[in-house]
Amino acid sequence: MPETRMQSFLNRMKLTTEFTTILLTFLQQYGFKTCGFGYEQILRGDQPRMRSMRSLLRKLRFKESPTALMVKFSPDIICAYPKLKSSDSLFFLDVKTSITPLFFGEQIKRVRRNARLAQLRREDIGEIEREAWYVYNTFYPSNKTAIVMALPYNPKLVVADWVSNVKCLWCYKKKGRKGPIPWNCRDCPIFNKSGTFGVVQNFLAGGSKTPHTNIHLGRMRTLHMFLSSEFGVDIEEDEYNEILNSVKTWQLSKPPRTVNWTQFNNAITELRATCPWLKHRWPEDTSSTRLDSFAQHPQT
Amino acid sequence: MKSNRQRTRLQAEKTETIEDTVLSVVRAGIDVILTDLGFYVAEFSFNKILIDPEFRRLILEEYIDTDVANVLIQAPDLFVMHRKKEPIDGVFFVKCYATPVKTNKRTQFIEINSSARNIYSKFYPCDKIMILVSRRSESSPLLASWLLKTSRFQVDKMKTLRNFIESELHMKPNDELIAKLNTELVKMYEPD
Repeated sequence: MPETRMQSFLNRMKLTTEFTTILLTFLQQYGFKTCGFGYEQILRGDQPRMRSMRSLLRKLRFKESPTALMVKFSPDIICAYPKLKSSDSLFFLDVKTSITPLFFGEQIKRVRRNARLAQLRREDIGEIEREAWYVYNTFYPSNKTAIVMALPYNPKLVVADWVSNVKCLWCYKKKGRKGPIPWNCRDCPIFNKSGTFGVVQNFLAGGSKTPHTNIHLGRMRTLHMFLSSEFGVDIEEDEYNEILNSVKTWQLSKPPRTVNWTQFNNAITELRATCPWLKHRWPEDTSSTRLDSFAQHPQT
Repeated sequence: MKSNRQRTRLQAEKTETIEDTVLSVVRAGIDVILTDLGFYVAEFSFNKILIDPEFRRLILEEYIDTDVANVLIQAPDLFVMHRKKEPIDGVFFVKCYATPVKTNKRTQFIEINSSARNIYSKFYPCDKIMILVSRRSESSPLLASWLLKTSRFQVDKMKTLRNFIESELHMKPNDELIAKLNTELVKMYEPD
């Protein structure tokens, strides 16, 4: 896969769409009923007004409006598990994929300090859009809104949990002189129930410059554990492993301007301790000798 | 005596009443008036945001007491966005209510049912839900207010649609369109 193939938003979206299809087929096979939700479903149709509304919602300034955010970041799917015969088995579901771990050691240190988790590992730090995190916690029942996230750089490969169980580690507020500054939890609009995070671009992020929230992947359950403990689903190991194996094949994305190849491959070397399926990469002149040598002697 | 559960289900499943027809007129009318002011208007009710009728039936039959179901069932009627206004002022929901048509008693209060009330205050941006109430009245058959924290609205203290748009949205509505909607509503509330 070329260096930038997954860099494009459209390709990342395609990856999420493909994984969503795999996940929904898997869930339906076990008796889950699913129904599309999300803003593209709510504002569906080709009429000019619907197209205009979808386009307005994508504009940065609409992040000032909680109402717009509620619609824009509404979860993708509504799921029910009628077999359980319990009213608890109706829930919102949002499916996410990530192929970009945290690359910068400095940022990992900031997240560790902020979360007071000195031992936090690179692979346990996940990233989701900050506004999505705000919406799940503010406008939907967070104990009945599940996040399922597929990521090749975490040993669990597919994690799942209720939003109310997911721990926020660090949340982008603004650019500071010595690096990004996080929100203080006491001022967080989620807890204060007032206003939004506001309009700000994340200078650390590539592409859309979307501000992010880091979440603790290590404390999320595997999809397997989530489905069996919450719904008593007896999952076929072979079928589950098929999903995991497909996630293992996803190559990590290297943000083109902010991360150089050495930083990228150093991170891979570190991640390979728990995720041995990850592969080193170089731009065009990739040679097996160079990769082998790098794997044994990471550079600084 | 019907339980809340039964009431909510009946409300969601009921066959069309004359009040539903009034509501359709109000929704269509406010759509035209807001569109004329530069707003984009999309239907947002339970039947519109959930495309699959089987799934809607499943929710109504099996999950009606849950927060997840009620966030969907109690969804306001319309979602509105202005293309140029500041998003904080120019994006909101609209929920329409019709007071009973076949009664001569003038409605004094509008009660938002407790299930809807709880859901709006827990999960919706309450101060951004515009309430529209139609009633029997020659001069002001359509009244408006923000939902805010109230569950009981004293109808006479609500603003006319025109005043609401002027004072709350800071825009000047098309009087002709408002008059047309009002005339339609007055006719619908006329005794047989």
